[in-house]
Amino acid sequence: METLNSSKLTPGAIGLRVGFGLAMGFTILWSYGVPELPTFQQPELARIFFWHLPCPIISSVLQGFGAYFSLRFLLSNDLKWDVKAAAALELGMIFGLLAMATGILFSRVQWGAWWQNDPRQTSYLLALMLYLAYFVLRGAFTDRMRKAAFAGGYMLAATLPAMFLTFVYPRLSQIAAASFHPSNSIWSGQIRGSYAQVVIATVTLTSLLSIWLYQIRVRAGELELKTYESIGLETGGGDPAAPRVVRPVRLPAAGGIQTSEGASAPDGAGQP
Amino acid sequence: MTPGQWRRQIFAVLRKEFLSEIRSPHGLLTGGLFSLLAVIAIMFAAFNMRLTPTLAAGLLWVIFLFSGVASLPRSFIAEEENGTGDLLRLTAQPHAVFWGKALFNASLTLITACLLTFLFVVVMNLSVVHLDLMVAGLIGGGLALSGAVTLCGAIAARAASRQALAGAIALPLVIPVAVWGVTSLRVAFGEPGYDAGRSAAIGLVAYGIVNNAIGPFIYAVLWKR
Repeated sequence: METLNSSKLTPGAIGLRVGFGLAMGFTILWSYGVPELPTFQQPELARIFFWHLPCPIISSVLQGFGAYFSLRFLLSNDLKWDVKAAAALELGMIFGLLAMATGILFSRVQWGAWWQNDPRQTSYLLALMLYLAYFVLRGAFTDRMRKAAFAGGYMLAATLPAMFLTFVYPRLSQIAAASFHPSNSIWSGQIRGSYAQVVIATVTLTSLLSIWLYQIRVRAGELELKTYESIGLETGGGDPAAPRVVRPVRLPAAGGIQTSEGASAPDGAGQP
Repeated sequence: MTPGQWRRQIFAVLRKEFLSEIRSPHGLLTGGLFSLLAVIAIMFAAFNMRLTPTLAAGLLWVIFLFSGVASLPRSFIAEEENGTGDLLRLTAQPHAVFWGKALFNASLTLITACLLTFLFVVVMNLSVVHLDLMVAGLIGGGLALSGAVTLCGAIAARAASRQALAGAIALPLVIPVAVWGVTSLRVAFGEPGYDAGRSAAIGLVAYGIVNNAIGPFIYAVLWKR
């Protein structure tokens, strides 16, 4: 059986990993080499920005992919799309939490409080709650197909509020005026010179890291799926909340209508 | 199906919901009692204090949200608990079922919201400066709230711990409704910024339309699984 470690790494793959590690190490050192920003309360701690910025970008992109993969699952009923959706949303949530953690740290060193009740912080926290609700919903179903379908449906419904909370609400004029958090520092050219170069490097490297983690998670999910299918765990009848229906069935040998006493219809079999 | 058949199915589901509610007024009583108790609790907390428009709008929308989330998912959950979900699946189209239940929930929300707002304005001694914004905000907010919570009720109806789950997954979806609702209502209560209030009311109506438009399609994909 295929496992996560079944394929040996080729020299090229090893080279890629070593190259990535070196690039990440170099970027971390480089980020300490850029000049400190005197406009900040604690100039040396402004560098948290380099690792804060990529996280919400990657989280939003992964959330978009999660919604797309959920739609693909609902259209095809192929569980491999659900594996991809869950992987994208899991990683999206991790990067969202990292964005929140680095943002809180930034808030402390720059604005003087761990939590400022800033509208942008609050709206992002609410967007994270959508991820959390998705995983809570997944946990409420034991049947794999139902879990995938209902959580996927919810993700589609949640996409619009998530986009509103992440992209629209923070940029409303009265909110942008009240918020400490800048909304257009990239597009207005406020990040320049060596700061811009380090930002490009961290965004690129963190994106590559997220792609790698996503691939590993998808592979693990597909193996889990294969394992379930191969040992017959995916029966579809283990949902305690599923309605138990006893229906008359026609038995060919007896020729009449009889009731299957005590038998419960398998999941989905009771549907018209 | 012809438009006439759609209409008949939707109104049949709506009629069924109203008849069920008249026989056992669970939704109205839950929402009404919850709202009334919340207003009484705020009366205690705000004793001898005059609420600002922003605070009043925020408190009122918190009551709307929680009373809606507590009472509205019931329409789908009750079908599964009573074992009548299969009958609906046999006899009706998913879009008609969703629309019928969403219309019922919207009516319930609007009735509760109007009564609650009237009570709140009277007991808190608030002045309504822009009645048009208040009405538009309540109608748009009612539509948006009921559309989102109805869909969450439909999604959670066949899960474990369905009532609590429906509330938990509905709240993040309806927070944007509260954001716009508070903006429109605080201007209606006298805060400056009529344009922002009007934009928020338009946003509420648009969100309500979008929620009620995509809800039936998502439900149609899920309802026979």
